Amino acid sequence: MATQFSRLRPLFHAYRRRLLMAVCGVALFNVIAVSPPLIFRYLIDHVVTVADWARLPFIIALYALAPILSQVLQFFNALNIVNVGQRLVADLRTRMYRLSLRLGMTFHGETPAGELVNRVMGDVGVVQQLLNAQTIQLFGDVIVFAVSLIVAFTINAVLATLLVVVVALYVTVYHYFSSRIQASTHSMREVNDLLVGRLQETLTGVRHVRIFTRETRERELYLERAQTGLKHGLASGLNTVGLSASCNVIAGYGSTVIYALAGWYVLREKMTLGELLALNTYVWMALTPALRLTSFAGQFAQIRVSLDRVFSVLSQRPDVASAPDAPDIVLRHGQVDFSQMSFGYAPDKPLFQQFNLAVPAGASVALVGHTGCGKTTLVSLLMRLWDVDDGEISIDGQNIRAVSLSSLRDLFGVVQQQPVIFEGTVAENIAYGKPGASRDEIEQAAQAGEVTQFADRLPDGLDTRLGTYGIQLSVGQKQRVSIARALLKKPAILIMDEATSAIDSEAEAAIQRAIERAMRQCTSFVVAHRLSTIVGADIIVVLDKGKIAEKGSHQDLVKNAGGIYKGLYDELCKSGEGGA
Amino acid sequence: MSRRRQKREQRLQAIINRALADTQESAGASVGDAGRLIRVYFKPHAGRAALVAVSLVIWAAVPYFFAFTQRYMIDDVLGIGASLARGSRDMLIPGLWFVFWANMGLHSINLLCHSITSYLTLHIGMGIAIRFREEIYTKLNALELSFFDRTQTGRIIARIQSDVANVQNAIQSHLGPVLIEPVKLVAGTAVLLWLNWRLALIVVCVSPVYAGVFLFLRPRIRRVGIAQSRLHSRIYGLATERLSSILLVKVFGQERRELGRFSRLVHDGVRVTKRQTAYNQSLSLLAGVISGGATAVILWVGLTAVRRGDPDVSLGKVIIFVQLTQQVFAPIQVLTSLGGVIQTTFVSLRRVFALLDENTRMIPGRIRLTGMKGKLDFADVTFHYPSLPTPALVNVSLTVKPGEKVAVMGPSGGGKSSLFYLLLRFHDPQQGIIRVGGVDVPDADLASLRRHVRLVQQEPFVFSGTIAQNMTYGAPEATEKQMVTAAKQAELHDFVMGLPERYDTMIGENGMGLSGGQKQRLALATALLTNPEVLLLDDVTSALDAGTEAKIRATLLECLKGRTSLIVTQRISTAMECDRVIVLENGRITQVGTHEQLAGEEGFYQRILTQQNLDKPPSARPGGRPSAD
Repeated sequence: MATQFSRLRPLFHAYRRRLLMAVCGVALFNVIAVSPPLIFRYLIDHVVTVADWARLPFIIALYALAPILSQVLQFFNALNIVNVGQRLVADLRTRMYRLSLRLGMTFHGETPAGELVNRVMGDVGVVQQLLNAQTIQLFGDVIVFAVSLIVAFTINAVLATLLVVVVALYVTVYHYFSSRIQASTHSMREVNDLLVGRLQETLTGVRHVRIFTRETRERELYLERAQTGLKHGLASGLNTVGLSASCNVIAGYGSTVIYALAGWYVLREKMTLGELLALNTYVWMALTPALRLTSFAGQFAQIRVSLDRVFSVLSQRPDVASAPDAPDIVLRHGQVDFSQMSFGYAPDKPLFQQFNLAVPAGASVALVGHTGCGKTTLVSLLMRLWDVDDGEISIDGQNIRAVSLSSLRDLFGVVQQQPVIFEGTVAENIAYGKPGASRDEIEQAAQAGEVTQFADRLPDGLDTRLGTYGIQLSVGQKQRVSIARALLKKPAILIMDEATSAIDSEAEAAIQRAIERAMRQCTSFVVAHRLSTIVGADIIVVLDKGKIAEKGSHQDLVKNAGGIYKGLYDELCKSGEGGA
Repeated sequence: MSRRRQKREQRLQAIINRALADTQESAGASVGDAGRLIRVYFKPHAGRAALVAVSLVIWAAVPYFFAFTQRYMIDDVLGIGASLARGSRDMLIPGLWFVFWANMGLHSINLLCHSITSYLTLHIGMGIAIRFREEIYTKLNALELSFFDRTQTGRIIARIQSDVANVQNAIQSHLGPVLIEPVKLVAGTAVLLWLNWRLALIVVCVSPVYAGVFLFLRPRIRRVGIAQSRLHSRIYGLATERLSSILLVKVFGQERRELGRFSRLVHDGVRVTKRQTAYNQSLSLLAGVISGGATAVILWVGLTAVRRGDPDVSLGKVIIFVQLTQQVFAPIQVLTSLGGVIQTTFVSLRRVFALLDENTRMIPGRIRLTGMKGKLDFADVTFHYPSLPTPALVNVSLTVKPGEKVAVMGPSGGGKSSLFYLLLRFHDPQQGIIRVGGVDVPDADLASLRRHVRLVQQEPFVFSGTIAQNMTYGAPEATEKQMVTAAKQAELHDFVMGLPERYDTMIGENGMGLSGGQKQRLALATALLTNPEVLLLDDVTSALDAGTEAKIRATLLECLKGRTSLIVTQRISTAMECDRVIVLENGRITQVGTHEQLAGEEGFYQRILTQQNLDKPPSARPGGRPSAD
């Protein structure tokens, strides 16, 4: 636990001055706040009882001023604390988000986005409670508690000792309940994570759910988990109730005993009336902070759970990262070499072993092979989404692991198999890879990707909002936007992963021309299964289970009767022959 | 300095305005919502709520009894004791015992009431939360798909999770105070008036000052509160969207900009929260000043009366008066500090209700489709998505005979997928009638409709879970043998057998990633396993390599035997194997006929045919890229 909080220290460091100010402010506030009973005691014993009325106005003024002053202090203090707390949280969130963006695909493959967002938003929100007004007040509570005890001892040692006993009982009860609260809170969160992950999936795949009419089953599954979560929540709630009830018993009965005994002392003239009243106030002044400390216990347990979850993200290290002083890649021609490369998603299942492939600058490479043979993996490795296990990949003679990641990724224009459209306008989506792009550039790219053709029919043309706030595009349209997005970048290496699969042939022909224009200016890798794309490539690489089965131009490969490529080609031709 | 402050203020207002302009979120709280919450959701808990109310009232009354034992102690035990000789004071011991037992009793009542309230509100809150979630999920199941198209997933999750949790929290932690504090305020004032109306007047006079300031600040606090919660859900939505598509962010090297975007929103949130705190703290500062001042005046007036020897005013009375004054001021402070929480709760409640009130125009029919012959009719169907200016389908009429295979071709955005969505009743057309097996689609039981007409999507969806779990999604009771057969038909079996745990291999978000082609084959297998009478295939082989596609085509033809099928495709080769081809362009059927007919007819089909043929012999490809030798 100590280590958890000590890990927060660097975060606190930047705000240490303001934090110090906050603690001092709270201390001062509480010193002022504990004074009224003392003033009141003076009022009773030295003004009213002895009928010395001359000092009355002064004492009353003092009595009134104390709470006002403490409130003013409290005002500035709260602003300061919220300021620090909020900024710290913003820091923490930004830090987690930055890391999330940098973490590799292995991490993201294992961590659903919904769960990650839950940690960045939900859990950090809980951790924020460490630094809100109530929590800082705990420092003050300690002061109030100490002062109250000291004053109580000066009034009557026996009663003060009783007070200590009461407080000791408190602490015991607190320990009993807090561990139980923590346990149920933890299980509640686990269930919730599971539930939110599934919820995210069923909402994203809502069509899938409806096609298979699984709505009711999904609802039952959700409710079942929601109920389990709530049950854990209830257990934690009941323990909290138990805790505060036990605390109330201890405090209430304890204070009554002290009060009655004090009355007896007054009758025996071992105490004054003013002292009784002051002691009565201080008993509560000692117990209230203790009560608050205990009620904070439940919260604290939750904070620890959340803190754990926050740090489990923060302790991740990007598996793919460049050294901070790594130089930017120097682009000459765009020659790509895979040499002696080995890679596997799981250590025991290598996909590529000692893989070699040299692609001359400016060449276009078509990757062909059965689904799952490693086509997409190969281009992912080139972009360094994963690191190779052995061997190296180099571009223009520079190992991609030795250059800065941002400069490396800047080389590529990528069209993904499953196009992604972000919330925003068509133009914003096209300009995603090049934020400063001029309107002209965007329009050209839109033209080249055949986006203009359908965008003209949208209500606001290229400025039509897509996604959440706007309209939905068909898959083919999305692919065209993502092609325009890649073309706008004028990349040195173009990667197209089955980019035109969902585009109708007519539109594809036009896009194909645009892509071919772009391909002439750069090195390109195309994962495709349309002959038109494959045949025109400079090098066709036929992959089979991570190995290069055949390599060469279309003319070379097609001559190799019995080869995989020839087989594929024949199949494709056969399927088209009837139309000839 | 003041200009800087002015600038800062402008920036803050801009942030708030921007957040409030977010039209996705429903407006702030409304009074009707509270009524609805009570009428509908508290009703089943009426007994518990009544018990809570009773224990709250008793709980609220306890401090007054404490005040009276206190006065008794000061005036009638210790006060009298002071005037007696030391020896005769033992007669006062029973009085002391009385105070002791009375206080013990009062503490016990206090404890009992507190425990009952907490326990019951805990149960009520949980009951209401689960009911809300149940209703929301039921609603989500009933909503048309266009709702999901226009609403971010993150926001829906925020409704069903955080907003409901907010309401639950408010019930569990704040319901008691909200109900009882106003009562305490009124009762406290009455008791003070009864004790000493002149002293009480002081309290009554200062309260309006506080109320005035509160009324001045309230709309501002509210505005800021709404802005804050909207900002929060925007951040949630943004982060979810981007992290779900992290690959795109990475390959376009946009990490830094995404971070900036996120960080800007987060810091906007900080500014808004700071302002919220300033408002709330002003209120409690004011409360402190007023209560401190009023106490001083009461002490002054009271004690000078004691000094004069006023028979109506004793020291004990003054002391408990001061203590009870707190019983009047405390509720005011509690209520104002709760103001913010109540506000956000009502915002959450409004959003929950807004979702529950979302219009579901679609009323499912009752007719269960059984053993129908898979005949499909479209009669003069026109349909447009509300968000799009141009219709997706215009006057489409089409009859598909049982067992017929029809290829659907056309440019993307031509209305092919919409045709399928209407058949499955994801949407209702604005005009025209669609019949499946002779039954009007709106009259058909949705579950039975979708069981008979199965769609395989172009962009398949994969749940995190095992392959077997994904495959049996539509047919949970399927045997392993059936599963393997379906996998073989979809050319998936060999791939699965190559995996370490075969059909138990984890896939999806938490497991291994599948390629597009693998997903398509999985989707196909999933659909085949349900053995539907009508199959709608939405370009399901687009991501497959040629070899696999050719193999699938053969087995697929076998599977399609005896089924009615509509097949969206880009490939002539597939179209040729169908009984008929229709071409959809701009939402209209422009061509209908067999492959032979359409091949000889000028139009889209012929153009595609020519183009795909040109693809074949490499030598004849015009405009093709010359091979780099």
